[in-house]
Amino acid sequence: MAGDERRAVALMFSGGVDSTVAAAKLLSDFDRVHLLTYSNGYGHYGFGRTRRRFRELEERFPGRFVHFEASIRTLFERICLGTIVEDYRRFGSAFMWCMGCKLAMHARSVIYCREQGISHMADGSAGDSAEMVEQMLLSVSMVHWLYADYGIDYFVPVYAIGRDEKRRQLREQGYFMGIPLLDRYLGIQPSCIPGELYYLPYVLFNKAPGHDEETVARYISEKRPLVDEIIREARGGVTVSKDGGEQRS
Amino acid sequence: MAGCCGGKNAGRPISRRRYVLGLAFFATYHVAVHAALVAAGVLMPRLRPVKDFHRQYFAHLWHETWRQEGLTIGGEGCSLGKGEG
Repeated sequence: MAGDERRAVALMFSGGVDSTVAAAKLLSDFDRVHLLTYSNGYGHYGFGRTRRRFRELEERFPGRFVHFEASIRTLFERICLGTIVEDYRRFGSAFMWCMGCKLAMHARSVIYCREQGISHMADGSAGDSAEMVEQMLLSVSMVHWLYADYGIDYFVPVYAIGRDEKRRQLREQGYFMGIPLLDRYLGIQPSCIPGELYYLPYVLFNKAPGHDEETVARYISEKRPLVDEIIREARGGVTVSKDGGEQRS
Repeated sequence: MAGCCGGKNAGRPISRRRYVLGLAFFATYHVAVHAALVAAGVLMPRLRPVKDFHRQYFAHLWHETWRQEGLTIGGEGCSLGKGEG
């Protein structure tokens, strides 16, 4: 892509602190940033917050961002929900809800990048949120190889930047910061009820989330053929529409 | 596990008051979600596996939390948001 007249990158975007800082940071290396926002259709709500953040970015950097919103419901159902009861018995933890959702988002992002001819993909994964299954270094690494197999360079531009520093940057630039509560800011990005339930024991009781690297690696490896199949189908004439349904072209 | 996936606060002690309040909140939230899934599952069959999954997950987690597995109780006062970062 070096030397392209308009270099483009896609970024998984919720409008939270991490993905907003990532979006602004990517502008120094890319002409255009495609912000990808997904809903899985199961207790995932509050997407007006993401749109508000997109407007804030658009006001500060006119014409530099494209916002794409899509449902990944059918992909999520195929990757995760279709076998969730059995998977829960086998893996002994509910992390597969979050990891399955994220894999569906990545599958959709690979399809988007291929449709748009984009060869760079990023997300707002952060090292100081590594208790979250999809932001563990292991998960990030395995996702990197997924994109690499499709000729897409996946990277995590804010992984090493501390949370306080990211918040400081947003505050200084006058972004909406929501309602501070404990260690978080509420109301700046979509919420997910199942995700909240999974991390509730950690928040309430300091109880470690119920996943470890070995189990997560096994889950991602087992789901990878399904992710590839979804991407192949999109390439072979079955495309994923914006509402997450499949259409044969 | 805390070293690899637990998060910075995993395993830190909490007060008994926080445990009891947390348990009440935890149970209320899960029971409300379960009731919503049962009701919605009547109209939307696609939610039934989610309901079954949630029931198993809640039962498992409640058992662990009630037995205080993976928790350290006995810190001074309610430490929510204070000096945990």
